[in-house]
Amino acid sequence: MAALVAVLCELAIALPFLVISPNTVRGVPGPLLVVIGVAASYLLGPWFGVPVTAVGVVLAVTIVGENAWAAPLVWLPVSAGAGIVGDQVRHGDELRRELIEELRRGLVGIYRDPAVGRLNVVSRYIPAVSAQRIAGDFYGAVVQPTGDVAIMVGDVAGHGPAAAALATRLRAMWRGLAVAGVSDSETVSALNETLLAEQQRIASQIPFATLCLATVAADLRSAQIVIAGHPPPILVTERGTHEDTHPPGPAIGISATSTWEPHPLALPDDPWSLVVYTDGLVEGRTAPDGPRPYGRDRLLPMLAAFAVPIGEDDVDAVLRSVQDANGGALPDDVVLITASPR
Amino acid sequence: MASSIVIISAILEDPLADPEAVSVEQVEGASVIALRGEHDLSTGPAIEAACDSAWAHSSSIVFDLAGATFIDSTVVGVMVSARRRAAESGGAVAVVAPAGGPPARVLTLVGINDVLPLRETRDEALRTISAPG
Repeated sequence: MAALVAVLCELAIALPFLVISPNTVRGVPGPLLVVIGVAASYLLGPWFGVPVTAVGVVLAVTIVGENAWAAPLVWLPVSAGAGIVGDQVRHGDELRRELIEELRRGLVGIYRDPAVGRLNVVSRYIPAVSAQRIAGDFYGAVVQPTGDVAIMVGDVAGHGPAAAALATRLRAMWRGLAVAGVSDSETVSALNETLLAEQQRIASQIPFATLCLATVAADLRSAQIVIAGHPPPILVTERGTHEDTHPPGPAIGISATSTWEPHPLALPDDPWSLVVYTDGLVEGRTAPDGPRPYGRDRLLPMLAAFAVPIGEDDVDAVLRSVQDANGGALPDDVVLITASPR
Repeated sequence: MASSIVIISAILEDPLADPEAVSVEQVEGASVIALRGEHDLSTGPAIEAACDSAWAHSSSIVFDLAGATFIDSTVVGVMVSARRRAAESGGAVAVVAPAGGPPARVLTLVGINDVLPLRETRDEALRTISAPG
């Protein structure tokens, strides 16, 4: 069907040349039709393009008046070749898109339902500007056997498939340990050991990764925070914002002797939201042609102005205003999560 | 004529690009890589290239971030990788990042000041790597 349409289109293109005296335009329409066929072959595939080229050749020789068959016929294999190359390119593009999609799926939470245990978890993952520049932000939230809710946000330093693949492995590993009820500091140590081993095994280009683990107790009265080189979580209440000020532990993947201590965070009786994010959120520009970084100093008052608990619209508003300040899409991946009692 | 073409092509590539954003310098047994302005994923390859030319001359590097107004994790990653390579070849890496400045804040947050010594001045950093331990 498509080939028939193409042939009809080609005849339509050829028609004016048949009306105009062939003598004045001799040599132009023949090659033109053949070129259209080869281009169609490359863009739409050989099964479509080769017949179009054949029609072009026939028109060029019989109607418009090329001198011989030999030269125009060469375009048939050329067209087939162009079609095969085009198919390969399309196949490669499709495969790349699928891989990036699949890698991205592996970076984020498995369930779409915001209800996680006794918490409502709103999450946003904004990939970096270019589809080719896949980066290594990842997150998750699961209910532990005790009813505690474990929330994790991480950021693998570096970009590209290696960073994204490593991030998906770390995320899967975190999830398994968290569901099994392993403590956060032991989990971070295990992830550190894994990243160091990966660096040995595959001479990984990934120098380090940062993590923030927040585990909210089932009674919603307290949380345990473990930080590995990551921006600390922010507790938002009606009274304002409170940023965890304990000195952070080091990023993972740097030293085998690193250890991580959990810090308790008391949660109030009145409504609260815990905000966890990756540095991409605060590393954009302060104004479209202003300096970087946007900074936590601008984020805190914005969060403090919201009614607690922070809702879906508020989270989108934060992302919008950070992007507006930057003058467009942010240069790096962003993960932004809020957890509030249901 | 030739130099004006170079300037024009540099302007066409990136009107905001600072030709001295990344510079390498050899001083008494170490290479000093000085960064100026903002550095992220887009300047990462230039910093890695600077490291490559530094390794050709010495096994120790000082990253001078005193003139850097912003660095992201890409830059931290390059420095961590450089430290690893230096450790393998018996060299050392030190960082000039005045306390309270933007690079020092990022490096402290990532928590790598234990493995990458942060120093206030270039002289201090050079003394650090010449007396490892």
